[in-house]
Amino acid sequence: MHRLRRSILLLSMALLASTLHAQPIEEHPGYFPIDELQFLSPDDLSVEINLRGAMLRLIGKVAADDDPEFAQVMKNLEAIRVQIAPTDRLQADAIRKGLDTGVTMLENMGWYRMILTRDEGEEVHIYGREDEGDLQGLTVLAIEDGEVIVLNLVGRIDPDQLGSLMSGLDLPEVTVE
Amino acid sequence: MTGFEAAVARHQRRVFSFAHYFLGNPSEAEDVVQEVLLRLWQNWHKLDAERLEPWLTRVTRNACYDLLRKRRSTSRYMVPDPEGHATNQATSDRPDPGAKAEASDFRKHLLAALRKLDEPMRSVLILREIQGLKYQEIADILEMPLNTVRVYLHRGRQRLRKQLGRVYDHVPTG
Amino acid sequence: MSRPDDKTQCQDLQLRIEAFVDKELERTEATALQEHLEICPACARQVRLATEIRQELRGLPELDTPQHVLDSVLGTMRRNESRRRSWLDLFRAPGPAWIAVGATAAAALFAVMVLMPSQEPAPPEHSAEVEIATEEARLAIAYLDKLTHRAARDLREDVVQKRVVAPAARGLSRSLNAPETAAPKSGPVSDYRDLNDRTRSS
Repeated sequence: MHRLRRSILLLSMALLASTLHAQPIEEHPGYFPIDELQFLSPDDLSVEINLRGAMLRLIGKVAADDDPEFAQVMKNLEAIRVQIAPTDRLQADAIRKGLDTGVTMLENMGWYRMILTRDEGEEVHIYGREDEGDLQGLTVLAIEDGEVIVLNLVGRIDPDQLGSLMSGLDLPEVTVE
Repeated sequence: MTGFEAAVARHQRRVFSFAHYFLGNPSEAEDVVQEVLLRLWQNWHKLDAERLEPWLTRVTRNACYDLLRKRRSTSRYMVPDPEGHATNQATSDRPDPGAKAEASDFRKHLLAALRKLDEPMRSVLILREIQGLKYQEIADILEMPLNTVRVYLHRGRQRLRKQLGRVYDHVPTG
Repeated sequence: MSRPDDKTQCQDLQLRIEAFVDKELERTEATALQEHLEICPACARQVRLATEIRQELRGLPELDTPQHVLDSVLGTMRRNESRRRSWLDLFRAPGPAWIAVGATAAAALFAVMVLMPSQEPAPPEHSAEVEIATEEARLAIAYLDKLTHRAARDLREDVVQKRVVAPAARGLSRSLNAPETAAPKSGPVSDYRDLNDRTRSS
């Protein structure tokens, strides 16, 4: 009997959660279909991150005591998607085509350019998407330090919160012996 | 077929293969598969379908590693067996599904060298080179940074190269 | 006979052979190693061996679990499941039948509780999964940080230095009646101090 009651409770919670987050992620204004760029195949990737709402909320919950700023950013996000590949695994023209396609798609979908820099073969495109006055998505297309980086944050993003979070983080050194 | 039976059908090869290549002993590999599937059954209703494969691989690896440590602690009381001959003898008593796969001499020496590797190099090599997992998947399963996975992979292959170099007279310079 | 620096180079390259075989070396490193291989048969043999090892490992087959193992596992699970269902049927039985079971039910309850899937808290794997996901999220934010810093630095050099500092320097030199100085080359803002020194000394 206890098991049945527990099952009913869990089902109710799931239904409630699904009502609150009924929108498929692909329909979120801040979602960018990085898979459609098609110039990074799974075998090329050195990093692939795909975190969705439920896990992000759990991350936020776990981090709340130790790192409230990080927790707050996580709780407001619906997805974090990252694909990274070393440039020497890819053809240069494929990289160029992929980036150009990405930029065209972003602009056609109504994203606005926040940052564009190009210098000696490296470039960074950062696009934002607003909805109802809030920043709802960030997409980055970049070539830097021998890597192609495609990144999409989906969800309500507070630039101040994100900014103060970023100042404290270091990238791990990537070396190969 | 129930969902659980379908999951067993889908994942049994990967689980058994990992255990076989890790332990080099079919009966121990069979024991590991039984233990892993029992744990899968016990946790079936709590597991997320999307995370099932990495969960299974992690549990399999941990079961193999526990068996290896148990094997080493009991072998203190036995004659030292650095070449793993005792293990090889045990395998000859039972039909070995991998026997055909281990036909070639090079392959035999390679697998013997693999079974001499320390952890986590052994797991990393099996997951990456034999089972074709991505670095990130391996990092996920073994709970280590991606860069560390790469380092262990290359070190493991260097060790194999040194072992096989001695056997095949490819002595490195320096 | 090999010279001491050749030997050092070989030793150094030994550590990079696997990365070379995996095509993970930076282009310049890969080219340097390739050039060395053309003149060093020993290292070339090592590369061949490393390639053979990689190919052999990747050619190893996945193996099927022996059927008797699967039959044993699935048979046990099916028996446990049917015992559990029998017990639940007993719960759903009409009142009098349930009351009639009595002590037998208590014993069966004990047996089923032992065999039922465990109700204990989530296994450690879930906590580890959250830890890994947390590290992934931090990594994503760190990449965003790196790229925005890079962009901001480029903007500073490109926009601030070229379009603000340099014109200001020219304006300053004109107002001091100094000879026209070329705009400083793009670089850190500290270059501006050099411009001041040149202005004072002329």
